[in-house]
Amino acid sequence: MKKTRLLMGSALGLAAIAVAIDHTRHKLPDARPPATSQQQGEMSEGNPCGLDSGSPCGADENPCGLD
Amino acid sequence: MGGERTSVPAAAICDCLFRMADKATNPVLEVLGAVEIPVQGEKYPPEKLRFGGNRLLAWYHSHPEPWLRDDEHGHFHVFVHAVSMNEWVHVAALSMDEMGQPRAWMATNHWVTGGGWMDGASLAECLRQVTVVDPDHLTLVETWLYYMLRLYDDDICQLLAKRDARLRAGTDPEDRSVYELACSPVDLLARLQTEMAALSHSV
Repeated sequence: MKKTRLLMGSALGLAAIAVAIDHTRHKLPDARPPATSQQQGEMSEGNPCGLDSGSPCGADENPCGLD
Repeated sequence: MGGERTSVPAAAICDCLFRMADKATNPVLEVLGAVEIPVQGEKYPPEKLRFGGNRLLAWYHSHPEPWLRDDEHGHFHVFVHAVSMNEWVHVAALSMDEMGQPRAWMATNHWVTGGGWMDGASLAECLRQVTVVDPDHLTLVETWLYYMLRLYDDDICQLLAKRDARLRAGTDPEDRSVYELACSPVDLLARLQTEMAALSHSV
């Protein structure tokens, strides 16, 4: 972090950060579809980003939920 | 936002970037670990990311149809544990492009994540309470995400305000045709440049 704080206050800092960001740019592997259509069905009916495990991504019913 | 609060996150993000550059990695590759081909809908890492004194929880995933998005590879979902409700509440999602770079913060509709719900102002305050202290013993990607939340806390606050305004205007929180309620683009280099300029003027 000391190196970073020095860079943050230097004229070269921004260029160094731009180079670092460039070195973190890597093409990500494409995600493949779930193995079973059942999983996809659960995703479309549940919550895609939920917390719980009852749905693939959700809090039971949420696709992006927590568990 | 005070000077300390602005400079520390920027410096910490830079530190994370240098460490990732040294390892030829990025936040998404970090969470994927040994996984060569991620599966849509799976959460990475399986044990999830935990930080902010165990009051922040996050993971990364890519969506299958019908929520597949053309403009992103996937996104980190961030939840905060609201002590008053004893529930996890979704804060925002950080959308990542196909090169593993952050592209936007998103506020999603309630049906997307389920769980607890707080108004934007209360949620932003809750988030600030758990991002006050510099973290120890975090993984590289947990550290990066923690400081991204701090670096963008004003943006997230405004994002949540836009989210709330849309709901007040009549959008149904359970309307499955509406996934995203608000979006705030991320240009990390430009943000760090702004932070550095502010820092140099304050010296």
